[in-house]
Amino acid sequence: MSKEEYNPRILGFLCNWCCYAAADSAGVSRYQYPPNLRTIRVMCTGRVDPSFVIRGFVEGAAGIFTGG
Amino acid sequence: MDSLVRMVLDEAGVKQERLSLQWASAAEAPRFVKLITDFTGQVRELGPLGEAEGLEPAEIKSKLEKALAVISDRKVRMFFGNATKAVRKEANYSREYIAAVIEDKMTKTVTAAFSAPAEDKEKPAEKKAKKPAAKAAPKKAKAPAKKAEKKPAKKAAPKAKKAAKKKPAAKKAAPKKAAAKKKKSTVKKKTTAKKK
Repeated sequence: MSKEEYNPRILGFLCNWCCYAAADSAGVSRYQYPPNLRTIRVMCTGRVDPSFVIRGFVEGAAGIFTGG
Repeated sequence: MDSLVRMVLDEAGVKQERLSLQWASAAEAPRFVKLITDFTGQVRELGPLGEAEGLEPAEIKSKLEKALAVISDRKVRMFFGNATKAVRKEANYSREYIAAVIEDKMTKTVTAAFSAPAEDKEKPAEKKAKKPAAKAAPKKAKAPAKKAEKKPAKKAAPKAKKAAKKKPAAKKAAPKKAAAKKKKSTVKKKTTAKKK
């Protein structure tokens, strides 16, 4: 698998009020961004526990994005 | 949170570039797009988990499971709480300062937890096997089980049935709290495993 073809699975913890809304408006205003992000909506970034991130890696995510 | 996870990932041998903590407000769609694009490029360069680290998938998985056990460890969480308290006291929330405090207070605990005996390594696997069955098992279900050990078998049997009946009800009642309860139950399992 060459690096150009490789599509990493990225897990995203997005805050309902900030990044999630930003992602939404990015979609509405038709900005292009990579489809590799699998989103988990949290009600606040403060809800994200260290163990969530580690578990994400255990389950095979190549990268984890936390957005507040 | 960020600093602690980075420290634990470092111990587990995972590159820190795989984790990103960024801020974008609801009105900053272009910024969000830029952040995601950059981060995707960054991770794409690193390749699949373990490639940039030079570790086999099985090896990195066992290491990460160990890391998960470490980060759920009661002692580590306690020190983490103390470190956050210290940060709040100083009211200095810059990333560098928080990282320094976490490193100062937690390096010892985390490394100690990582080098804990091998029996800890078996526990995560055990937990995983048990989890689907007792996903939302509340405290109540655990308590009668403990009592049952002391009492004769005849009395224990109906209690166990009652506990089993309680489980589905609890699942319906609090689906949102399931995640929190999961954590609690893992901690409980740990203590019971030690007793045995």
